[in-house]
Amino acid sequence: MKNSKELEFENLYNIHKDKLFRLCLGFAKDSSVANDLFQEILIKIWNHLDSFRNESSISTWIYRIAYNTAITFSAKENKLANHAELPAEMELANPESTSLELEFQLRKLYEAINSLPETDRVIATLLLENNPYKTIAEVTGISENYVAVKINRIKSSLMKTLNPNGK
Amino acid sequence: MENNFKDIQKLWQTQKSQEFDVTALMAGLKKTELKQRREIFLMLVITPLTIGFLFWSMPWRESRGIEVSLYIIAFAMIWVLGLAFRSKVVKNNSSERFNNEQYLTTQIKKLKARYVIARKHMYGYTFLLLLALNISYYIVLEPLTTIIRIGIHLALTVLVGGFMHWQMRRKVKKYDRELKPMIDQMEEMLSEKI
Repeated sequence: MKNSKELEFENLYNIHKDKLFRLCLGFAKDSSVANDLFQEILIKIWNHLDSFRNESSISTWIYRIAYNTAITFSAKENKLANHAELPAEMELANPESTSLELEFQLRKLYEAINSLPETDRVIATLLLENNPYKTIAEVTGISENYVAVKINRIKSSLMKTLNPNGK
Repeated sequence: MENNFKDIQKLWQTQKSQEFDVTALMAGLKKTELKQRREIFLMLVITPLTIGFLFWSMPWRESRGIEVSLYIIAFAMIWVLGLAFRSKVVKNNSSERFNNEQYLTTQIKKLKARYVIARKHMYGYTFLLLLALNISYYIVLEPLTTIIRIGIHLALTVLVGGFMHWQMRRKVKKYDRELKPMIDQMEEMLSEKI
């Protein structure tokens, strides 16, 4: 029988797994590396679960763990290569449920996210999950005003990369 | 621009997580926790046991010098245990409490502290070890001639000191390869925020 910690962990996993996996793809160079990062984040969440004290919302708490793990992971990965390049065969989405066109668009999006500096990647992925500026500021440690400035730049940069003709 | 960005958001959110065996992960984590608890227990037990054994086996009551050398060894071992305890056992890296900026700052500090241990503290430990060994040898070798005693002291100091120096150089080189690029990368991330 599962204990309360296991039940809580499983519940958190079911609620946040998609968001966490997407953030991993935003920081990893290929899907196997994304899986490693995903697992590392889950391990950290498990290790820290007993210390959650309701001082912040559970999603902010999870984001902090996830992004702090991702930036450390990214620093480790950057030892090997300075620029993130997604391999052509990278499996981004579940192939059974995704069309080739959607997969192509997703690949382009991940390439665009991967080309951003780490801090901008954190902001971009939080923004893509519809998080308010307050949460982004809490996770990154920069002021809400500066978040707003950065978001404008990130939006322009992503649009330019994904839609170079401006259509 | 807003409409286009909303499309990007929608596209982003189409990606779903790959299936992951979370039950197996939890079982593995529980095993790791148990193993870590055992390691902590061993760390806490082995040092006092070794110190106890040294005091039991050495004639420290008969010689003030041996007594002093045992105190030095005990102090050095407890000090190293403290350092190991801080880096191994205190695993809480506060990733859940800190924002990115605070987290990066503490991580950089932590990684730099490892350099300090390899570059500075381990030399302190070597010095204490050599001091204790030389005091003990000074007493044990008393019946021998001066020239032989000096020779043994010198050989002991060079061998132990040289071996420890070689180990520490290897460690620092490993850190240069593995930790330094990470520290540089994290410092760059921090400067990007400003």
